[in-house]
Amino acid sequence: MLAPGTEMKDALERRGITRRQLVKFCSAMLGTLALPDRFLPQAMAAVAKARKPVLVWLEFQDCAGCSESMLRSSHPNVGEAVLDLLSWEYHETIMAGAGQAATRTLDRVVKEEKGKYLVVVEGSIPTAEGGIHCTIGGRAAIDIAREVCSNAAATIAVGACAFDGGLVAAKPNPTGAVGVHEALPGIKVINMAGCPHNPANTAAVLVHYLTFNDLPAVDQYSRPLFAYGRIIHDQCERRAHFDAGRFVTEWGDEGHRKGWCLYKMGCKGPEATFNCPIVQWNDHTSWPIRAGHGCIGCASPRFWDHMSPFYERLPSVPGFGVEMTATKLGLGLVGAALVGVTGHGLASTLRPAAPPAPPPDSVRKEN
Amino acid sequence: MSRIVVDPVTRIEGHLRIEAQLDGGKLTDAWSSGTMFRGIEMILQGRDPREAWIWTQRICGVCTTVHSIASVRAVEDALGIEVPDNARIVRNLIAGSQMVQDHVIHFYHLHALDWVDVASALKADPAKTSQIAQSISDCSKSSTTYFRDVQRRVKAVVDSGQLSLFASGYWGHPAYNLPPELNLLAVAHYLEALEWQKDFIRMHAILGGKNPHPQSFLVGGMSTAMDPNEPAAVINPERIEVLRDLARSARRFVSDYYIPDVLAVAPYYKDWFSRGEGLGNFLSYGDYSSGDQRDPGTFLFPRGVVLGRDLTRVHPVDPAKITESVAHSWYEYAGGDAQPKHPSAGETNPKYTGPKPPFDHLDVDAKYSWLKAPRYDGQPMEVGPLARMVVGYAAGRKEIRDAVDGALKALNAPPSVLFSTLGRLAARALEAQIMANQLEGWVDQLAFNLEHGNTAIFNAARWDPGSWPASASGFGLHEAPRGSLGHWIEIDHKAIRNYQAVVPTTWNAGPRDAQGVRGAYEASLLNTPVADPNRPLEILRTVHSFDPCLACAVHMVDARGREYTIPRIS
Amino acid sequence: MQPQMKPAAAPVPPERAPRKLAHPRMRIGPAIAVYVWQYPLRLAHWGLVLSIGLLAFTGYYIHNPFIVGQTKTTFLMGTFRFAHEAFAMCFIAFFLIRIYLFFAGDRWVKLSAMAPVSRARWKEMIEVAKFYAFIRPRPLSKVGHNPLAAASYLGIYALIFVEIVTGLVMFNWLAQNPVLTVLVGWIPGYIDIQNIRLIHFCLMFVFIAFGIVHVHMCLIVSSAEKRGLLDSIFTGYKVVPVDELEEDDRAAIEAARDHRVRA
Repeated sequence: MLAPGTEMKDALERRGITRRQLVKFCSAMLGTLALPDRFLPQAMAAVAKARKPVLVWLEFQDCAGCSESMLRSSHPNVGEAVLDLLSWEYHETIMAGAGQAATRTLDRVVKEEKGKYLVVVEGSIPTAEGGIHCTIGGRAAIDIAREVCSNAAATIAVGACAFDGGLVAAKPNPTGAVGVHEALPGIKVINMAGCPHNPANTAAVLVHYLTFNDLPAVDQYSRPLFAYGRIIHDQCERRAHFDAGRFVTEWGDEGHRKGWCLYKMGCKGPEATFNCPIVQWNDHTSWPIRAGHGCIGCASPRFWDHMSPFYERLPSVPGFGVEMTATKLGLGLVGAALVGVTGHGLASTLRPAAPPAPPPDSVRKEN
Repeated sequence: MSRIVVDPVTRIEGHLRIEAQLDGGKLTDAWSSGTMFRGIEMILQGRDPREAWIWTQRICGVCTTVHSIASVRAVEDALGIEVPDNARIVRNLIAGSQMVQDHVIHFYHLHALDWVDVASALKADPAKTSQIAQSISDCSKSSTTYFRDVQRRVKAVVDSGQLSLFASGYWGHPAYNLPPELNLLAVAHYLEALEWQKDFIRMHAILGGKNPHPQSFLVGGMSTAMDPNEPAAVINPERIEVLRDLARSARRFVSDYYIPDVLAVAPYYKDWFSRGEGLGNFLSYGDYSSGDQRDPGTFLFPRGVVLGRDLTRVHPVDPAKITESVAHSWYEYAGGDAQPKHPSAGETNPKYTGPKPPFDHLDVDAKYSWLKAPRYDGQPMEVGPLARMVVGYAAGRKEIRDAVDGALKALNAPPSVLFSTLGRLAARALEAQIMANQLEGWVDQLAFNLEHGNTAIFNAARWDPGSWPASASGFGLHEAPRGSLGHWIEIDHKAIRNYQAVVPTTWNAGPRDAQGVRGAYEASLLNTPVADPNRPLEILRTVHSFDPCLACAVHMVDARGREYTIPRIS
Repeated sequence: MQPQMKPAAAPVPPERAPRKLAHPRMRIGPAIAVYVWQYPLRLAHWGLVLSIGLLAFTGYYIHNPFIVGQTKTTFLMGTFRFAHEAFAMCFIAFFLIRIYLFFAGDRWVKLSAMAPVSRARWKEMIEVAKFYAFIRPRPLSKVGHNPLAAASYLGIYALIFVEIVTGLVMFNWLAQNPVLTVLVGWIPGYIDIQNIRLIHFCLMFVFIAFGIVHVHMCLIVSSAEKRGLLDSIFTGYKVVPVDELEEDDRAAIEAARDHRVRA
């Protein structure tokens, strides 16, 4: 069972892949998913299947950053994902056809592959004014999403916008933007939060699906645990500096040059969950904290409103402008207490001496 | 007479819809519509100006970084901050590598399929393809075996019946002119470019932590701390060598693949040197300073305006002459829609008056786009690589003159062919070459500074909002891959009061103005022949030649503190 | 019904001699020293005071590390965080003692004695406020807490509860303890972790401000009453004129004494 038989060999040849390429690729995937080697044959068999699962990639209120991010995927690289692993039949940013040729393709997939295809959603879905803030081929985004996602085997929401509306849904959310989960309650969706999503994680989810015909275990926000189960702070290369109390206090200072902790510069590593420090970006080259800038917590729920101001430790106090920090407000409160107490104390010294206590009866009355 | 609708226009960034009038096999009119709106300018109000770049960066993930650069420049202008030389170099490197990578992706992955018939590549003789490849380039991947492998891979995909991204292409369309051998070459390089772009853009990962959306900008400099002796410094001698290696790989890729491929493909499509001429007015803010960013004389791409295809005169740029019209855009102006407004006095009051979805046609006589119509001195302008090359050529900039003249000589054509669909494609390739040749020089400067103890990367004088005036305003200009970009900001009580951006694709893809004057896309589509109205490949060729980026283009002008609420329908 | 009170010709023998009775302005009359604050209550009180102080100091450092370590051997933030977590555990223990006393403590510290549940107590609260506002010349003297103080303490205990919960949420954000995850792990799904942090931080200032006002009020009332209010939190005893004892107080004192006598 371990060695692929002639059947798999034929299948691979048909696909123009060598067995060595396949082993290499599947091992890398299992590594990302933290699965043991014994799953290798299963993964290889799934990947080498004669008929490739169909994937469609929808884009709504997006910046195409998540599409671009997918193009930076290394394991598999996007060429492998698009041509060898899956049949990537609809993706506006890179597909060959346009206009009717494109929309017809989407219609065909929904009809012919009903219940079998995967759908990736990028960008938020506007709900205000009947969805006029995003139309494709004259149809509102919400209509397309409902039809395509409800007929899919599973929906993968990539990026912060598809997760929970992202930047578009930040206050005051002018277009009533929501994420897939909120727009289409009851749809099976896995959220690959992040701005953008990390293609290594999304590729791992795709391969997990191909291998086990199911999505990986998720947290309360339907984000896969293997990617979102730990806070960045716990995995950060600068954590030792945090514990030691060595902090960057000004951009470009000695601590900054020595790679000390960015906590005082507003880094949201202690708040954010993501596997950014482990998987890193662009073929494991770097990640934001390595580049000397604090984390902005981009994989966290509603991070644009909750993690900002990005250069402050704490969010702004609701009801006050960006100028008012919690410390200023708190010190104000304590100051007011001191002033009040001092004033009251001074006034009390002027208080006339209490008259002799009235007899017990009147005390009762007074009470 | 019939109406052609292309929606979605694919292989672009964002949501673009083209409606065109076909009469006697030629387009007699066209309308360009952006069909998505997010309202980022409203979301920005009241937030910390120092983090505006993080937000505006998300205007676009394809031209990621460009809005960050324009944004930090706008805030720095407002607060009077001068950034250290190293920050200028790092920004140049980030923006320059973005430009090269973006142009390569545009040519191979977004535009090539308009010219290359993938299905025809199966009929090619790999040996002949190899010969062609070796005759046009020094690229080492040019053996018969290599091309046979690629062909086998494509054949496997075609035989499987699952054509993936290529399923919906216009294969076999009569407008495809390339011989099978060149088609195979192009398909092979499509895959090569896919590999190269992800490897090369690690430059952004090194200087910004990740791509898309690198995260190392700061108002006042960059977060890429430099130290010649620290292993954890973002820029140290080891990192410099990686950067240098990547810069060289850009130079090699552009000279071994991009330029030869463009020169090989162009002769088969000579018609397209006279189609898609467009407006003939070109605008460039100029950028990529070798010294002081505030002095346009130091720019690699000069600042200027060229009017009416007149290469003998470069007019100066006055940002005060920029206006925007909403006569055909889904917005309203307080003083009436007929009067255009300068961005610093602009308004964004979204008011959708288009048809209720689902719809078949837009009412193009009324408002029909989420884009505004920017004008310079009342005239529509084309921006982008062609505009930069035209302005640079007219201004007599040596690098640009040499590159353009060299290409024209190779193609045996006069400068007038620049004003065309293919001219835009060629200008983009030449610009990528000029930029790729620059990158290593910037890495060298960085290495020199590092070696000589100049590690300043950030100007801390105005980081603390306590040091700011009560109110301030400023603007930042940048030449993004797709053209001239400007951000305008007003700061009040340490928070953003107004934020505005006038974006390249708004210039190019904008609708008509109050006088009914067409935007650049609309003008360039006129007189284009369309062989098959059901497969309007020709429309895609011209529209793609601009490299549309709609997420950027949909409007960003300020809302002047006017909050509005829309009843939620859900 | 007015229960017949024995006129206290001689004071009820106090467990300890009353103090400060002989002050010149003090009304001459029989008074007793009442053991109002049992030692577990005083322990909880001083435990909370001490731990709030230490938590505020260490917590502020965690928020804004004002000392930046320079050498390789420092473990500043680690130490501060450890101290903060250790003090927090003590803080929780003292808080639990106080909660226990709500149900098992003396009649003056029971929840039922403190909650502003009756109209009379609301009226008394106004009377107390009138004293602070210089409208009423004399404080409203009570054996236990006056109703306004009692209500404000309940408010502070509620805020302490919020502080403990938000602290545990943050602790569990890193610790991912299975028990805590069940108890508080669901909270960040409703209140974002950053807002949890904000609440936790802002409440610190509320406690400090409360502490200032609390000490001030005690000083003012103590000096006006001259009944050893301030001393009572150290010794447990308050001096109460016998004729001011409410019937329930009296019964409680009697019971306590009877109990002691029997023992």
